[in-house]
Amino acid sequence: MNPTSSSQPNDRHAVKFNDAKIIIGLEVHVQLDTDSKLFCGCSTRFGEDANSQTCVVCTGMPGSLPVINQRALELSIRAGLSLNCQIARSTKWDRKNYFYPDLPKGYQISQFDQPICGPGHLEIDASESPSKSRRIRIERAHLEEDAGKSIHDESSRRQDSKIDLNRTGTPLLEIVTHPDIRTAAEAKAFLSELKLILNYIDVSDCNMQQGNLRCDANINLHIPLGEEQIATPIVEIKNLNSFRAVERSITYEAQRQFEVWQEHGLTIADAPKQTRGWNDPTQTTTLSREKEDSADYRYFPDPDLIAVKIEESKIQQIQSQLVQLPSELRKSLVEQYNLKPEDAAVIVSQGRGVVDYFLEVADGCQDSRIANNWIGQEVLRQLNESNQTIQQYPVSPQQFTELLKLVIAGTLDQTRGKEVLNEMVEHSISSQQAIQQLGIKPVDNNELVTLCEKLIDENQEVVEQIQAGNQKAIGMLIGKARKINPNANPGLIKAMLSEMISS
Amino acid sequence: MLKSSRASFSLFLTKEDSPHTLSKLDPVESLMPNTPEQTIVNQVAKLARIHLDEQQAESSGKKLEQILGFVSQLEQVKLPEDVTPFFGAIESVNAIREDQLQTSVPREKILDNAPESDGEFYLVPPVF
Amino acid sequence: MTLSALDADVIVDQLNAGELTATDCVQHFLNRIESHNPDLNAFISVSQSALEQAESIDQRRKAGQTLGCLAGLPIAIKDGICVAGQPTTAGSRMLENFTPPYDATIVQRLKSADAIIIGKTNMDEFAMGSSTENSFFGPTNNPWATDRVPGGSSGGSAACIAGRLAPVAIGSDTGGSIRQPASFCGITGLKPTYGRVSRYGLIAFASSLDQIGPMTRTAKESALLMSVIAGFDPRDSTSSKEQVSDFLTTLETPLKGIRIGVCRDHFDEGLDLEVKTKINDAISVFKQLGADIKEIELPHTQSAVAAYYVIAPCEASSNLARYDGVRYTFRAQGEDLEEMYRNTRGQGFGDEVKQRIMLGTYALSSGYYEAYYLKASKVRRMIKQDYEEAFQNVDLILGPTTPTPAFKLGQHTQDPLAMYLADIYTVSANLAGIPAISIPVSPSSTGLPIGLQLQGRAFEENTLLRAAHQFQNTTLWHTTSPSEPWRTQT
Repeated sequence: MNPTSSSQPNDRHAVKFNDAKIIIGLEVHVQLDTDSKLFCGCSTRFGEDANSQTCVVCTGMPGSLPVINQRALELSIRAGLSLNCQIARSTKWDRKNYFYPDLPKGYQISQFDQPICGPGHLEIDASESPSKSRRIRIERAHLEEDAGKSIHDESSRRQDSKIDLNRTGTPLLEIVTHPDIRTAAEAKAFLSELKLILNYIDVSDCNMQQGNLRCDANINLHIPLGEEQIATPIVEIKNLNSFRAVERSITYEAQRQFEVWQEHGLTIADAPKQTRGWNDPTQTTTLSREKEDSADYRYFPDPDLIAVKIEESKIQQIQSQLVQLPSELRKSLVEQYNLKPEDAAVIVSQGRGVVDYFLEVADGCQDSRIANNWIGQEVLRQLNESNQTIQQYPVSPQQFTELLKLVIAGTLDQTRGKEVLNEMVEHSISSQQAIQQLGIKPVDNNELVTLCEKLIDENQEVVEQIQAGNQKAIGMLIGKARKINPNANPGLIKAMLSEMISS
Repeated sequence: MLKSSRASFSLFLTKEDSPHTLSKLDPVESLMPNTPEQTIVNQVAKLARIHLDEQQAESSGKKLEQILGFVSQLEQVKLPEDVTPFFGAIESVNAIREDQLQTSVPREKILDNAPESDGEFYLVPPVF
Repeated sequence: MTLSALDADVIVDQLNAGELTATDCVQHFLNRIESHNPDLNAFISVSQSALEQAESIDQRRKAGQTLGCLAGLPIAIKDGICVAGQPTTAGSRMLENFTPPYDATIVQRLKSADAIIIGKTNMDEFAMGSSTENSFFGPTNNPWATDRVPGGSSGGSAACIAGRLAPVAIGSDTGGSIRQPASFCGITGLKPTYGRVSRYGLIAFASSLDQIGPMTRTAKESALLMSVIAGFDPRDSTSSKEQVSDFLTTLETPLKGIRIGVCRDHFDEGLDLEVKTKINDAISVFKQLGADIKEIELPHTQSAVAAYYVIAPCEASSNLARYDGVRYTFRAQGEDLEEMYRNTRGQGFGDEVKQRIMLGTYALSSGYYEAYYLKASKVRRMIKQDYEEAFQNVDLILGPTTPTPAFKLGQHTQDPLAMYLADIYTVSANLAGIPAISIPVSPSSTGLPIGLQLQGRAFEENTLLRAAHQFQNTTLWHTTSPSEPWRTQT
């Protein structure tokens, strides 16, 4: 491994980091939302007692045999269609052989050369790009079984490692992108959009805390040096389990590779691919301890399983049942509901339930801007505070629509409207009931005139200020009016007071 | 990445070498003071996680070479260009099951065959 | 006539008629095992509950309950097949103390038919071998001459039938492991079509080749067992949904006009002259039965052993990776995980198993896959096509099961190739996935059994059984048993 690069160290030091292009490809493992495992009937539930969800098949007991879960196939096809992938008409199973104590059979059943999903792509938001979006190509997506969990003793006592096989055999879809991603922010945008899509189509809950979405990033730099483009050695960062870790590790790793290149000049031709891990406490990547033969997986077709043929009609059936994807919904919220793109993005990012809620309310009250203001602010804040989903929200879209109709008609002002909403949420009641409980009644004109006259009489110094040109002072009178009669409409009071004072 | 793994560096011989002779070695790997046969046997044994003592490695190397010599007759078999490999003895498709839960085996029964466990987990010596 | 001399179908009839109790029947064979197993070492373990089960069946029969079609019939099971709660070792130290928590599908089926599992039979470790000398539990001896091997890997099942320690047995066949020991022990052994019998619960050697089948004295007994064990199993993705034929009712359909192919290449070099003569004699018998004998060619079967000794070890190297000291009983200590792995697998596996794992690991490793596994799988396709073409013109293919009669213990243990060539006529059927049966013909001048092999079209076991049965209707070789006390020398 000699630094054989033709460049002189001095040339290298003249290059700036910002001149380097970062080349990033992602491998994303997503747990499919099935009830049972990929090859047996054990539950995929998270968080149960160790080794309580295993059987002779997923523990690789001698003589046991795998049988494929049909739903895992369907969910993979659904995911593939949503990512614009070609769906294989025939797919098969291969064994990836390696030894590890949480891999009971000594091989993982995976797909080597005939993945269920072929090439596809995903558009991501990229504000710095002229078209505002970038297309990230997907190379393939294949089905495989997950391994179990090893718990190692990290102390110096070197106690035995503990093995839990509950997760063994859980279906995973591994989605592999082309190295089309250029920044850490794009990597995050890709993962966010992917997660949102898989959520929308009910393929995976993508819960990263539970490890249901895990990401490996392959990264290197293309550095211009004179006439040449220098590529640095590829590094794979393994097991990134949060968006933040993805962003930060890429940012760190790009900088690290640049510095190492400046110092040693090693290129892709000089060093094999390296595996590194993200160390969260130190915010650095560190070289992984690896077995030297780990690259030789000795793939071959699994003789315990037979090929899966996927009929065109099956693909069409799944296609026809696909719900609208986030990108389509954002477009329709902007074009048909006149939302600003950023407002549409907020609503869509909350998931299918919030979108449905919004659509029902917007259609019901016939004012999508007001619906957006109220849902985008009040409802999301309340959900966030109470840690609830939209399905758990006590105000139904119909009730919410009734409330907004009153606000739009001017029957309720903003402030009173919010009071009513809070009352509805707190007691799970309709807007009419809330209005009654809050004692909100319409105020007739005579009553208002009397009120205004009373205020002018009792607050002569304020009236003088207003007459002297201090229009803001009128707010003080409105406040007093609301104290006397909370149902008084501030707009009407203001108009009436202005007229009386000026005449 | 999946695709790169088979094409990755060879442990034993380069692809151009005749596959059934055990005489050529990757220069990096051949630094050990053994005969070439033993070196290869040791490398395969390592990959297969099998401990062999020196004597076993020697006799195993001889047998391995003998068998590889015998199966090398496959090289001579002339095949039509378009022949598709036959990997399994059944050529039907789509053996699938519904996504239905079945009762798992009780933990104590599953762990019963484990050489070491604490009643909850399988126990193995430290990885490193 | 003593119980030992009765055919299984006759035993079942007598049990049904109340002329015999299951308890007496099981006790008889347990006694035989007790007194003769020390000479044969055919069983690794004997069932502790067999007598209890027999008593329960007798009671149920007395109470007039409906019983299964094999009610009270003792059966021996190869120890590579899982029986819940009973030791299942696959002949390996690695599984010396392994007790599966589940029944193999065929065991479930036999239990539902009320057969009584009397014991688990000896075998080459993980079914790798042709002599049963590769068992961790010591070799099995051939009852026709106890200084000779019974064949393998299902040597225990073959020897216990020949020695009448059980009326019927189950074996498994990956490259000849039912037929070759059947031939060496003078019994009938059927390897069904791949996918005909569920492999669920059979400890895998080479998954694309393994198949469970009956080992019995007569073809009719094999048909009886097949009618219980054959059929689709949702737990085995490779099991076939093809309709199961009625093996018993077609047994007597005359053979007149049946076309039997003979491949002259299989009568050449390497074939023992006496075996050749006896097989030719048997061909005359089939002619007398009305068969039309035709010459056929199977050009690629010449490469079958080579293809087999690539494919089987490749699959085995992966199938046996699970024996790593973590989950199944045997572990040798080590300072760290890697050392524990290497010590466990170094000490838990016998030499032949280690040799084949190494061969398969090598052949699948980076850069060799195409030259070995892929090439062998292409040759396998050609072998399959050879058979498909041959079966356009013939209904059965006839030849010797093995090139020689049983060899002596220790004769080939240092020469793997000589041992592998014992499979030369049997491996092709596994590679092609077709059914094949071995039946005894006239023995050698030294009194050693010789086997004849019939191969048939996929899912036509009934044709094989029918031809074998009618051969046995006109010959007596299958009825002869080694006279007791057994010869110790030849």
